[in-house]
Amino acid sequence: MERKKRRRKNKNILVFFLLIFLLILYVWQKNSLVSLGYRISEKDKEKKEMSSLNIKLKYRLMTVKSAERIRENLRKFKIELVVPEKWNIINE
Amino acid sequence: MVFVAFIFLFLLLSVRLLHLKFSSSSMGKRAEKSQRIEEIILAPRGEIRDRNGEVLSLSLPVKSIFAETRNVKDIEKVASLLSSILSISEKRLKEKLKEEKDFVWIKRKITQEEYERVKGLNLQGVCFKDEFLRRYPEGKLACHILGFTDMDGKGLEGIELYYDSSLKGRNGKGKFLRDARGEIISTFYTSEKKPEPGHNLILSLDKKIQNIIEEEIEEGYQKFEAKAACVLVMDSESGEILALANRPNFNPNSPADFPVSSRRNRIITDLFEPGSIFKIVTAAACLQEKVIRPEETIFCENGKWKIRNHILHDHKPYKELSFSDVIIKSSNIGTVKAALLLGEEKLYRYCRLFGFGERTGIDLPGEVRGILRPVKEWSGYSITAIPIGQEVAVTPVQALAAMNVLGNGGRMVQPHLLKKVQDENGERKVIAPEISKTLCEILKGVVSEEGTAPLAEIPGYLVIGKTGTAQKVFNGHYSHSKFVASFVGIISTGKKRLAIFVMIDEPKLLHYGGLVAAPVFSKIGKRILAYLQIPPKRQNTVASSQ
Repeated sequence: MERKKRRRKNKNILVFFLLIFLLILYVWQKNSLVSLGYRISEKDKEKKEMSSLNIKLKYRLMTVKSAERIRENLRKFKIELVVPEKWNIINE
Repeated sequence: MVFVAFIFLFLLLSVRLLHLKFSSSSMGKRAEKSQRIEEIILAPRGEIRDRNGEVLSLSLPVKSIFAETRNVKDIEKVASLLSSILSISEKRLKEKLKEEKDFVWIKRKITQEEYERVKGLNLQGVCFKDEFLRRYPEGKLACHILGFTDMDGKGLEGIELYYDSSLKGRNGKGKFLRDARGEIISTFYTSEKKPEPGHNLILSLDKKIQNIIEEEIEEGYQKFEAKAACVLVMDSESGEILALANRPNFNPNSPADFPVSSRRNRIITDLFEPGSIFKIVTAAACLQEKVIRPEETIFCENGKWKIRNHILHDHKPYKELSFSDVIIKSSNIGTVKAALLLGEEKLYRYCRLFGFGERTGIDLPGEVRGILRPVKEWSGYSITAIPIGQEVAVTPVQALAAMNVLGNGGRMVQPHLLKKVQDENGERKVIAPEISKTLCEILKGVVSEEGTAPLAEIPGYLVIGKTGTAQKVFNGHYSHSKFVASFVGIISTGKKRLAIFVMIDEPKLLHYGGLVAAPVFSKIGKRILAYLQIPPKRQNTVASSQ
């Protein structure tokens, strides 16, 4: 009888600890999910910033290469194109 | 006993947790609500590209600063710190921060440097929002085609306005969970409607041809100290606009810095009396209706003819001229005499057939119809004025579309900017192909030594065209000092036919279309042909060099 009682008690303790273990596992999983969420947010932000920088650099490149800017600089710095020598011109 | 107490406490805690989780009025629900945010995710506006895929307009992601005023603790300090970075007066900032609103814009679309400096201050209640800034990397290039947008990215002019619904895209929506510091926890978003970016538009425009005409129009505009200037280049067969430029112009990156008159696309909004260009319509109508043959002669009254109480002049006195020569030498008297044979009704019908008095349907906003009064509103003098391009007002795009009929075997095509397949309604037959051919033969003479525009000639290429020199009307009278000089022509090669219109408004020094606009046409034509790698015909090259 005593033995049976002890066995039931042990079983209860086991169930209790199992429950505690499961709860800890759940909390740990939730916590991992949150920290993973933070990491994803961080990476998302990084990705967004990098693609934004990429577009801005592309735009900068287009602006630098624009004919209007080149024309303006030629005018501003009084740079004139050199007229090619006669031997430099290929003509039919 | 201890164990039982432990179990009891545990159960108590569990019940409380469940209560927090599921009770609607509980603190947990409220906390969750405050942590769950709903955010609109802006869709980027589509890009505008030229026919070769070169980007002409794009949207850059930028930040805007706003304040959650109830969270701003020290208004004086925040205003003072932001004022120096954002170049806004401290007084203005204080006013904004004291507004009784939850959300107040501080400054929109700030620079990267401003963003980093403000972010570094870590001010409570000062937040950032993602937005898009519309930019035009080529600056003023094709500004009247592209147009511009407002602060919220809505098209206000040009293609940006005309195709706004296609360009703007659809904003998305996201629900996120954020912590007490406002940081988003990405793994806990509940639902999301993805933003749909706007469509990219591919225009028929060619950036390189656009650059050519921008350079040449600028030179002509400066050289003749003109009030305004327009150039339009179109693919004759398809009606695709390859380039379009106006002077004065503006920078779409900062449109507010330029006067409204600079932002006007004169090619579709400004009316002018076409003058001799309109003789093409009269000639086409006369030939189509067989009222005269090209070789038939007309007496041109030695340059001065009194008709219906008005005196009509020619720019040079002529006696007998064949009808072909009337057009080549641009005789007003000869043209009017031919038109009188045609009659008012028929002349009006052909004016309409050539598209005058109605919009061309070009895909740009603000196009006007022009002025062409119905016959019942004509005065007795109208039949002597309209055939030579007076008493009518047209837009440059109408003039080019009409001329293009000749380059297209008598068919009229709709000028357009978006590369698309033309439907059947986009074309109409105006004159018979053989009449178009005859008229082309006549108009070849205009760019010869005998014609009014030898300066429009491009050696080695077939060029047809017509000059226009129109007096401007001031206080109800034709001015003797203010003119509109124009030239409309077609360059025909085996591969391609290009229709080009050049107009110089109020040129100084010279005023004839053949002297002012024709040389600009020729220079543009030569450079475009070189760019398109269309070589001249050897025979003509040799002939012209001899």
